[in-house]
Amino acid sequence: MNDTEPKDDAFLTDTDEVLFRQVHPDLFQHGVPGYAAFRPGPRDEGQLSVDRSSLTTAEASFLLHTEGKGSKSVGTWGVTVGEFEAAERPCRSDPLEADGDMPANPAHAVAIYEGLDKRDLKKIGLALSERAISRGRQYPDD
Amino acid sequence: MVDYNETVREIRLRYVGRRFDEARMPVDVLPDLPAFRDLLAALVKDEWRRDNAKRQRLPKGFDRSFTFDLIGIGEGSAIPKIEWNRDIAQENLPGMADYLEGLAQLSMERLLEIVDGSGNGRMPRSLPSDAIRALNKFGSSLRDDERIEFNGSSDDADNVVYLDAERRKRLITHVKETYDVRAEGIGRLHGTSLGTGAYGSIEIDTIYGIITVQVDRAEVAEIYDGNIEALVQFDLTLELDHHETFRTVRSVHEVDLVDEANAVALTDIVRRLDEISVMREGWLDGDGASISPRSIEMAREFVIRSLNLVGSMLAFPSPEGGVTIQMRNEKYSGSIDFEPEGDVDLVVIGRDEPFEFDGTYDGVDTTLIESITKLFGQDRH
Repeated sequence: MNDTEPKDDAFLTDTDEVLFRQVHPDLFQHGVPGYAAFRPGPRDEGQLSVDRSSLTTAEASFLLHTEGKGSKSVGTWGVTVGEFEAAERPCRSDPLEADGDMPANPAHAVAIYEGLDKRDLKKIGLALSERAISRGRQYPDD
Repeated sequence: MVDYNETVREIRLRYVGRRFDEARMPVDVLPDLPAFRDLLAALVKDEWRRDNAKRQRLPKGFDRSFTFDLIGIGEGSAIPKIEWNRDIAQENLPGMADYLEGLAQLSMERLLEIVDGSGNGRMPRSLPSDAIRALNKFGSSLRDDERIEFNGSSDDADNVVYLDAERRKRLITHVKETYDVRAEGIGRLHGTSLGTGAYGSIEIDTIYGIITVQVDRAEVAEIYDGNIEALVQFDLTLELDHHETFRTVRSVHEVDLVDEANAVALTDIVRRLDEISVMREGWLDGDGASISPRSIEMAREFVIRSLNLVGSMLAFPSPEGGVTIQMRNEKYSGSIDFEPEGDVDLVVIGRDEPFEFDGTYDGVDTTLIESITKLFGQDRH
């Protein structure tokens, strides 16, 4: 993530825009992603990494994550900017430049979870996982 | 050497562990209190015999003179306060109450020495048989991270003297070779026998080996026959030796066949929890913490205690090293998080309608099971 403070116009405003999220195989059982895939982990500094559908596709997001970065994923799920907003989680654009072996990701964005206690983090994770499950896996097709 | 700076007229036992927070005393621990009384009384009788070597029999009414009353449960974990009823002692052995109190004080110090010694390599050569019987009951429901502290006592290092599951096992197996434990779990039906009288038996393949449990003959025929290899849920008191090898079934609290629909889901989630239990630091592409054995143990207990809902459960590791069980039905989506530190957090939201419910529990307690059953007991996803 960039260290510089985001400009106001970095915040995402198109509430219909789908933000792609990769789900690790250990957080996936019987076709259902666990809610932990939709909240930041202990090393994420309160920010959830997503990719913008206005700048990439679900397939390209998956391939960048797996082949480009060498991380594991069972697929791409999606939550809209409006659904993050309904949970009072603003999202902002956070394009990444190439860094060593890590490829650039101009579609990268973050949903901001800072300032939440553990219980609210869980409720929001559950609520957003429900939205993602309802929308279905975006790539590969089920 | 141990010191005991309180009087046996009012003894305070401090139960330490999450189950006992905020002065809660689970009812399955209550049999500890008469067992403690029996243990102390057995040592008092032994002191009396030592003091009265020429007398062959205890005075009539001696046992009844050691009547204790539970007069309250103090806070700071659960601290049951038990009071020696001197009035009953006076009625049964007039004029001897002060003498008995002196013997009881000596016996309490001996009891503390025995308990402290069991943790520090000082084992008693022998104990009276009635003391061994009582010791086999006192503390039998203690879990691995729980202990009973004897308020007012101190050991050589000025720490309070305590009994925990390990000390108890060491002590009992030293003087007796075997000890009793409460065992709840799941096994597979290994065999059945109709027997000849009112009772038959079933054999269950468990982590303790093959256990034979007596059940009604009619139940063997109607429920278990023809279901070899089916899953069986059990809640038993078992006699184990110091190698934790099964010796015999002491008592049967519950035993039942897991129904077919639940058995498939149960096998699936047990396998999944086994997979999660071996995840080490660095899973989740380097970001996941090693999964806590305590979280796994609690999740397994939860599954066994909510068997009727097992078809609605999915299990996940948490990046922080805990275990999450998620449940969904038409109305609700919920998570039960078994945290590495021992907390259990429940969060439930409405899937389509606004609804929120949350709570934190002391391990897998009854109120957690009740909340889950109320919210998810109606239908399945």
